[in-house]
Amino acid sequence: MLELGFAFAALRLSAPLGFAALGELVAQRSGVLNIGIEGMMLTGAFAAFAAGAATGSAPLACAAAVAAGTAMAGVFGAFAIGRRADPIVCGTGLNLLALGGTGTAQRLLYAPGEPLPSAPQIAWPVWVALLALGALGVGLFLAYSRPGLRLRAAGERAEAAHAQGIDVRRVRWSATLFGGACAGLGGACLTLWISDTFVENMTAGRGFIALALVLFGAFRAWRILAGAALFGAASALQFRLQAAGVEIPYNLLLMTPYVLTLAVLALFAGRVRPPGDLARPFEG
Amino acid sequence: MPSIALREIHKRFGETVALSGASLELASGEIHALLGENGAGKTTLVRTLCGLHPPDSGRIEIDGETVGIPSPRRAQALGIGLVHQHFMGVPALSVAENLVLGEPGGLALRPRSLRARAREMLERWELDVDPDTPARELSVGQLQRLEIARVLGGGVETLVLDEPTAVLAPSEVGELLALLERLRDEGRSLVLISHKLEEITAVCDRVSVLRGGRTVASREVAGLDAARLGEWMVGRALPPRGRPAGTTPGPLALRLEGVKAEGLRGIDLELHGGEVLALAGIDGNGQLPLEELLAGVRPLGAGELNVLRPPLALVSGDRQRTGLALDLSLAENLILPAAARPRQSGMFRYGLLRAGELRKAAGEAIERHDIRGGERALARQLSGGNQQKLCIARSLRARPGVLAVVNPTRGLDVRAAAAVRGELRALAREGTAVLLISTDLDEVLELGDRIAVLFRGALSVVDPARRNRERIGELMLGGE
Repeated sequence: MLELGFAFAALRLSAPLGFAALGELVAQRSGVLNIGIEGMMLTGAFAAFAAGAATGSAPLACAAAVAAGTAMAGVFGAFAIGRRADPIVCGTGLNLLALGGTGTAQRLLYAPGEPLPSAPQIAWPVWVALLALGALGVGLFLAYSRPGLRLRAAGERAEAAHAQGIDVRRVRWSATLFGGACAGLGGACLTLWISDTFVENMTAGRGFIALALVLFGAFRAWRILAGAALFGAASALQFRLQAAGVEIPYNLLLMTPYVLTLAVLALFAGRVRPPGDLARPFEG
Repeated sequence: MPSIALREIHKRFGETVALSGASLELASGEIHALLGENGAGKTTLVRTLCGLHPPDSGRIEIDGETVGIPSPRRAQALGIGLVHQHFMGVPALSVAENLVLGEPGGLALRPRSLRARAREMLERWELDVDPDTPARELSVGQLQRLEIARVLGGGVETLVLDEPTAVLAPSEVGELLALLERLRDEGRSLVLISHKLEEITAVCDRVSVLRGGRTVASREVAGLDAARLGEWMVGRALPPRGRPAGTTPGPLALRLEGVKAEGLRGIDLELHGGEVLALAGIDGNGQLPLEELLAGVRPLGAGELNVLRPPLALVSGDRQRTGLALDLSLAENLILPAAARPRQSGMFRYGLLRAGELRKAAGEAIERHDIRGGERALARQLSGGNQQKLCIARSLRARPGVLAVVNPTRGLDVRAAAAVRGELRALAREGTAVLLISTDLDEVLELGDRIAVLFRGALSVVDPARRNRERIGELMLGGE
């Protein structure tokens, strides 16, 4: 079963997760637990679709997705960083807002019953290159750059970082916005590559899997990508099994990538040490 | 010519006066000890110098020029660095990363040059660890050395160390003191906050003693002894009262024999009903271990602890953290122990809280202990004094034969403190055995029928004939 088509399907299904998880990695390493990435992906997917369908330009569609994800992250940051609100509540609120908002916008923009327009597509090599460069960039940034060191310090022990003259809030704001942009890009993957249309709730929990991947990947870029690939391969496999007409109820099959990813997560998570000040608002 | 002088420094935090005319003259190339009781203002004074607490009034002079030090950055620019008692870096980062964290610089951090630079700094400051080790794997002493290396890395000429030896093992103390002498010999000036006489006499050139926010003495160390320093530290006062003549203590209520535990090196004491036994001592000499031992959260290592008149009730020294559930109401806090034993307490029926009983209990406690606050007021809304009264009221609900209280008036204003002390005295009169663990010497002298001093986890009893500040101050510093 490990032929080229399967590998390609797996790659395609893992890319949205990869983008979102890389962004979340940066946010979490700075101490921000952004559980709103599901909503940011969904908003990005819709923005890419709407902008792409309206203009016919794939780069514009992509830019719209990034802008939409960043804007959502801005809302999250205003509450979670600016007002020091509980990140779980803020994130959950954003996820619900995105779900309702994109559904409503879709119905307002496109008459029901009529076929939806299609979004322009971006060819797969572009996505693969973006993802590879992103992972490499994030990895190098975190490990071998001064801003990356400051970002890690802010996430590990904000008070100490502050005492050494690091502007913790600014660092966390930047990381959050970057995370939103990445989630938006992950969403764009769904409408500009995997499919050419928008379906309500089309992220289907991928944002949450991305959250899990960050932990499962032990907060390291390459391990997170490996986790995303695992999820992609499991998804591709279950499609393959469905198509082959295996005698298993299809909803059980649909579940397998999620169950598999979570099972692996549960096996490895015990040994992972998250950033010390993760999800702790900084008071200074 | 002093290189740095702090003159007539005043500083208050809200209602609390921390410094009222403190001064410090630091000559270049000397190690200057700063001595004083807890709360005397030592830390506030050095923080003034380091830009962490700019003073309300007073002058800071460097080489005769008046300067302002409004921020740690400014202090850094003037070559003044502070080594905190606890590691102020990031434990999860590597040693090398911690060393460069605060410095400005370009985008890239090349591992090889980073490592080389770190190795050079570590070697210079005699810390033998691999630069790639995460800081959290270092011992307390190594972390402190790392902190010193980091602070000195910024080109510091004046180094302030806040009780650096308090966290060290005895073998590490010697190494640290040797490093401090080396730093002095290289021409730096150092301020060393210390409670330990042997450190002061071993490496310090001069000593300034703070008491109640003022500098009361500043001398050459040569020729000073523990009695003299102790007297400066705690002051001279009228001979305080002991047990009123003619009264005898009640039956034995609490006995500790050869008690050892982590942080306690062997405690023997006997406490009788109707008396207050006060344990003085500088913070960190076994107060917390003893409190935790009595609370049952620190295991007894060796020896025997007998409560002959149970129950033993404890009023925690940290009312905000372990004493109260701050977001529960006054009444709920009061009956928290009942929630652990719902059947015996009579507070519950069919598993439900009896509102009438709760109100009655709260009303009684408010009345009897003069707590200013309604039964529904959240504990966090009460003033410090009322929080403390609530803690005491709660511990008395069990009708304890022994009541242990730790720093019962810390952070309270004068009136609230007087009320709490009055309550403790009244309890003893009624026959309760009271064990007072306090770092406030005035409180110890005022309340204690007998006094003992905690020093490095051991107890020395104060001979009633020598019950005075000088003697106690001497014992607090480890004098014989």
